[in-house]
This record gives sequence, C-alpha cells and structure tokens, in this order.
Amino acid sequence: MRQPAPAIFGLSALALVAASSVACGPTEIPDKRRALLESWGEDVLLPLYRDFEARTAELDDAAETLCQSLNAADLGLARDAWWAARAPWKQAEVFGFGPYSEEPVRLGPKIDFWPVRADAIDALLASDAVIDDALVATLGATQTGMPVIEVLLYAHGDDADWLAADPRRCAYLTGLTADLRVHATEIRAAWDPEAGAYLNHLTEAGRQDDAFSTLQMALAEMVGRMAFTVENIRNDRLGRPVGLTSGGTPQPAKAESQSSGRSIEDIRDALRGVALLFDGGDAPGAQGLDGYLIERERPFTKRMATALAAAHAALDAIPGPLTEAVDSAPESVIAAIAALGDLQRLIQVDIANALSVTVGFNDNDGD
Amino acid sequence: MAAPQRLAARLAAPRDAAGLAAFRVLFGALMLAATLRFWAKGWVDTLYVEPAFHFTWAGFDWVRPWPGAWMEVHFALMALAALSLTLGYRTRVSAGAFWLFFTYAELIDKATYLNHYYLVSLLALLLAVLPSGAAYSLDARRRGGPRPVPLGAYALLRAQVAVVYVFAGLAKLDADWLLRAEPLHTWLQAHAHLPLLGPLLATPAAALAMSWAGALYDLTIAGFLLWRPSRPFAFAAAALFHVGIWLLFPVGMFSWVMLVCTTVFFDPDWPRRWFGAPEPPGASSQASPPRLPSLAIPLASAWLLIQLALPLRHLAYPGAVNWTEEGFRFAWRVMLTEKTGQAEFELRTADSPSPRLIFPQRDLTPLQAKMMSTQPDMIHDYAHFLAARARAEGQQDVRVYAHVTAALNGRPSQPLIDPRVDLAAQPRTLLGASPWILPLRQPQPSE
Repeated sequence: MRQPAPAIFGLSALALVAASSVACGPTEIPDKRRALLESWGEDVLLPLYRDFEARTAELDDAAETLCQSLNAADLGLARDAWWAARAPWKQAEVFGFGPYSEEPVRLGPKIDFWPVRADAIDALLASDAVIDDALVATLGATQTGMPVIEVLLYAHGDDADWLAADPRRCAYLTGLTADLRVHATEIRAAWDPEAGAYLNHLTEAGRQDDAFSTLQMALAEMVGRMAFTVENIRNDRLGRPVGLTSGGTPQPAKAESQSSGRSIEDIRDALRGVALLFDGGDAPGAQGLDGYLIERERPFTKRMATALAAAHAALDAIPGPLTEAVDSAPESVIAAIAALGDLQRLIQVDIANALSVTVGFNDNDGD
Repeated sequence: MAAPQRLAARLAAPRDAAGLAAFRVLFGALMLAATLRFWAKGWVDTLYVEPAFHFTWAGFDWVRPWPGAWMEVHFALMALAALSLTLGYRTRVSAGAFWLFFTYAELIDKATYLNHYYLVSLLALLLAVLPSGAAYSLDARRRGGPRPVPLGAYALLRAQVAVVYVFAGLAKLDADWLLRAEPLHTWLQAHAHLPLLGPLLATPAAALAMSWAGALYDLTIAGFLLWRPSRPFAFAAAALFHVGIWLLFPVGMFSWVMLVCTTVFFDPDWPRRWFGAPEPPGASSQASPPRLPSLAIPLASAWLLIQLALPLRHLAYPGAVNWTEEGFRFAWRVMLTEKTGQAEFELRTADSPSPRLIFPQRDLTPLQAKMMSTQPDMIHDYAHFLAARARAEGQQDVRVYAHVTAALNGRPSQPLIDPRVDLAAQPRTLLGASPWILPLRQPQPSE
C-alpha cells in the first residue's frame, strides 16, 4: 500500500519544527562566549585604550614642557612618558583589527608605523614647510606617530641640544605628540560602546551583526588574533632584524623601537596582551579564555603558563638591545623565535582545536 | 532470457518521469540559489580572483581562474545554466553546461574542496545524460507532453545517493566517532546556550548518542527511504537530521543538497500524488517503453564501480586516513574531523648561509592557509611553489622543509610532516603514498 502524501508532509513538518526549536526558542541561556567577549572588551581593551589615552596626554604635556625648557631633565621626563605610553598600546595590539586596520579610520599605521623611516623625518625637517599642528595632522604614516616621536626624543643624544638647535624640531615634536593624543582618543572612542561602538561587533556577534554572524566566529577572531600576535613577533619583530625571515643577513634597521632600545619590551608588552586575554586580568569579575576552557573541561592553564614563561625567559636571554643582539648573539634571537613558536602552536593548534574555532574566515564551508 | 538481458529489460521498464523531473527542478533551483549566494558573498573574488597562488589538482594544473572580470562572467553563465536546467530548456545541454562551469571552478583550487561540491558535480553530470527533461520542462512542452523514463535512470541516481550515505556511515565506524564521540562532543559544546536542548547537547552522553545515531542514520537511511512502508518516517528523520545539522554547524548548502537527494528514493509519480495532478497522456508507465542505449548499462556499471572504489582507496595507504588524508577526498568522509594546524617552512639554498623561515600566511589567503595547514598534499604543493619561486629568483640547490604541527579531534598536537625531508625533492604523484607524512600517535592527556 502506498503511503499517503499528507503523512510524509506531516512527519516532515514535525521534524522541521523540532529541529528549528533547537535554535529559535524564546528562552536562550546566557552564552559564556558572549560573556567572555564582553569581558575582553570592558575589562581589557577599553581600560588599555583609556590608559593609552591618558598616557599620550601626559606625553603631549611633557613634550610641551621640554620644548619650553629644552633641558636634559625634561628630555628624560618626555622619554619616560613616551616609554610609558608604549606599554598599553603594545598590550592592546592583540586587538589590532577593526579601527586599527580598517578604512576609513585605520588608526594603527597613523599611531605606530615601523620600522621608522629616518629619511622621511629628515626630509620634512629640511623642507621649507611651516611645521605646526595643522601640518602634522596632514602628514602620512612615515612622518607621524610614536616611532617618529621616538627618533626625535632618543636618536640625538641625552641632552636637548639637538632640539634646541632648530625650533622646527620642537615644533615637529609637539605637533606629533598633539596628533598622537588625538589619535589615542579616536581609537578609544572608535571601540567605545558609547561612541564608535566597534566593540559591539564582538559583543553582539550573532545578533544581526554584519561583522561576525555567529559568536563562534567572534571567538575565532580573537583566538586567531592571539596566535597572530605571536606570529607577528616571530616574523616581523625578531625574524626580520635577525635575518631569519628576510634573507639571512641581520638587519638591525628592521627592528621596532630601535632608538629607545624598547624592542624587546615592546614584545613583552604584546605578550602581556595575549596573557590578559587568556587569564582575564585583575579586574573584578573579569573573564579569560582560561576559565572558559576549564568550563569545557579542556584546561590549558599549566601549558599556557609554561609556554608564556618559556617565551619570556627566551626574551630575557637576549643580551642588550635587539639591534645589537641580532649581530652579536643571533642564536639567542633565534632561540626566542623557537620558544615563541611553541606558544603560537599551543594557541593556534591545541586551544583552537579544543574550541573548534578553525572555521571563521568565511562560511564557504561544510562537508 | 539470460540474466543480463533480464536486467536490461528491467532497467528499461518505463516509469513516470515526474519524480526525476522534480529532482531536476529542485536541484537546479538549489544550484541557482547557491550560485547567486556564492556571488553575493563576494566569494568569486576572495576564492578565485584575489589569491596569488592556487593549490591546483594533479593533472588539472591547467585549470586557472579567468583573468579580470571573466570569473564573474563564468559564474553568471553558471547561474544561467542552473536556471535553464530548472526550467528544462535544452535540459541535457544545460546540465552539461552547469557541470562544466561548476566543476571548472572547483578544480581551480583544492582549498575550496567540499564533499557536497563533489556531489553536485556528480549529480550535474548524471543529469546531463539522464532524461530529466521528460516532464515539467520546456523541452517536454515543445515535444507535446511528458514521456516516461526508464527505471534505470532512477536506479542510477538512487545508487549514487546511497553510495554517499553508506560510505559516510562506514567512515564513522571508528574509535574517534563511536567511542570518543569526537568531533561531535567538541562541536556540540559550542551550543550549550541553546534553549531547551542546549545543556543536554553539551554533555558527553548526548555527543555519544548523536554519534551512534548519526552513523546508524547514514548506514540505513537509503534503505529505509527505498522501502515504501518506512519512507515517511525515514524522510521525517532525514528532514530532522539535515535541518538539525544546518542549524548547528556551518555546513552551507550541504543539508539542502542532501534533502533534495532524498526525493530520488520516492515513487516516480510522487509529485503528482503530492500535488494531486492528474497523470497526463503519455506519462504512464503503461506507455511504450523507452529504448535504453546499448552503452547505458556498461557505462553506468563503470560509473558505480568508480564510485565504490574511490572511497575505499584509502585502504591502500598506510596510516589513519583522517590524519594523513591520503584517500580522504572523494570518499564521503563527512563531519569526521576537527583538525587544526600550524605550518611554517624552511627554505635552504646554496646562496644563503642560513635557512630562511617562511610563514605561508604571507602568500596565501586565510582560507588557503587554514586548509593547507592540515592537508599534507597541499603542504607539499606549497613547498614546490616556494622552491619554484626561489629557483626563478636565481637560487641554486633549493631545498624546502616543512615544520607542521596539527591536532586531530582533541588530541594533543603532534608533528604532521617529517621536518628532515626536502619536500621540494619529493615528486608530486596522483596516487602514490607519501612517506614523509608522520604517523598519528595515540591520545595522551592534555595536562
């Protein structure tokens, strides 16, 4: 006997309704991934960018003071202010997407384009252009930002004679610090839910958001960023200066923060940013990836601590400034690249596997 | 009458073309939607136009993206062919054209391989030879009405779909799937927040139950769909299964392709009975039997033998197929692996005193880098690309070593490729085993 069509329709409709109820019910349970993304935004990213905003304001004030006094003591204070502003900026590097890299704002290169182009700085100073805040605001990435400020503060001796010798230099310096202060506010505001609200792309993922159609994709983006931050250190910040990723010959001029000797500390700060996402930081109620993995019964606490400690130890073992170590002790730099490789693999392979966050670049996927 | 003649007569027996035509209409409409979706999401550019390097298939290295805007034209023609197939205009030509456009695109880059894309290619090719335009088509209208089709047309499609399900089920009969409930357990934990079922889905017991149910489903669904008394329940189960998968996992069009495929198991006149349409003159199974071409049975037999051999070829290779991926593709090994990897390469040449470390993300798109990091043949391809580029730059004695770490189904990560082997010196083979793939070690505790 043939089954009547309505029976097939009825059973199928029932099945479809049952399946649909899996995803469309009215009483959604709070998703721990969303809580994690919210915590990363509120407890890590925004505090870091607020701190950066405050420290760039202090740097701007210090530069103004220096250019009024033009003495070595105020140069030292301005250097301290620059150094201090680097810390939150580099720690926030793990959030180097969205307003950092995407047009129209694309603030990352405006704030931190490196390796610095000394010839671009010299060309501006040697030109006939009137250097003031208005001009600096129009300059491209090679002539603005923290690396250029670093050159003006660190590359010409420990007294302020070089700055004093030509008023254009101080005009350039104060124009740059004022410009940096503006950009620091812009990048904080771009993420801030009260202003540009880019953070909402992460925290509202899966709720009609066009950047991340699911929470899993937003989580994948952040885990991917953790891994990419480590790879970026290995490839660009260590590999290129030591020649491992750039043809074999050490190239100190490819180092980041070479005038100040902050290259390794920049790397440590970037790793601290990765660690903040993993453990959540010190803010009350802050959540980290570690806690989420433990809840999923896939703990990585010890392995992550071991890998981070090994990476920091390898960085500590690099003697002197990186620009010298790439020539005098390249094996120590290569050892650090290897230690950071273990950390990268732990995040990119093991943790990603435990979280199933390999999919997320696009949804041309399936089986 | 001898057995071959009896079989030929049975396969030539006339059947209502409505079921076959309905499959064509549903498949064509789905392909039209899929092509437009692919286009709308910008994947024509991101997958074919933007990559500077493509992972070509052995023997098909000549298949390259068209220059400039011609890939857009390619997809426009693909959509047109899908529309034409749906309407049944020059049905076989339309199906053949769709197959050509679709398969060409899929052959451009291994990174875009998906099992259901392979199935789409197979089904499109079958529609190019089967008489699916015999009803519900502009062709049938032009010819004055529907005509019956041979039972063999249904049999071939059913066998093809059954091969997919049965091999998908057989592939699940391993320890990861049946004993560790992986990768389902990992995947389902991401759905703990869902209402009603969420907390249950995240439990190991649910993953285990769903793993066993999934294997059982794949192994039996074709039979239950074929058997008339169980068919309504089987179709309801198929709807639940595929819609559930679509809701829970990022499988794109996979679920809908498989749901459309279930209709081939229905009685040939199912569209008329569902929609209450009368049987038009000439469509009846009592009409004069269509002639079966003399090569039909040998070709269909060869087709099915290939379909049986391809999923089994992994048995000819050493090691766990889910790890080595030798014989993994074209074998319906669906939803079996959660695999992550990280790959970097060491380039050595006579001109350079020290090795150069290369991160592939600098050359590849995120999708290509992700797919390559776990698939040995793509790692090998990329090593050859690096070697060729170095030689083109004038480097001598070029050697490439791969440092690749991967994790499969929650196991701790382990090396996938022997880092001591110069991959640039390893020949690219179509079927040969790759001794430089390291074997999968057994699970160990994470901490």
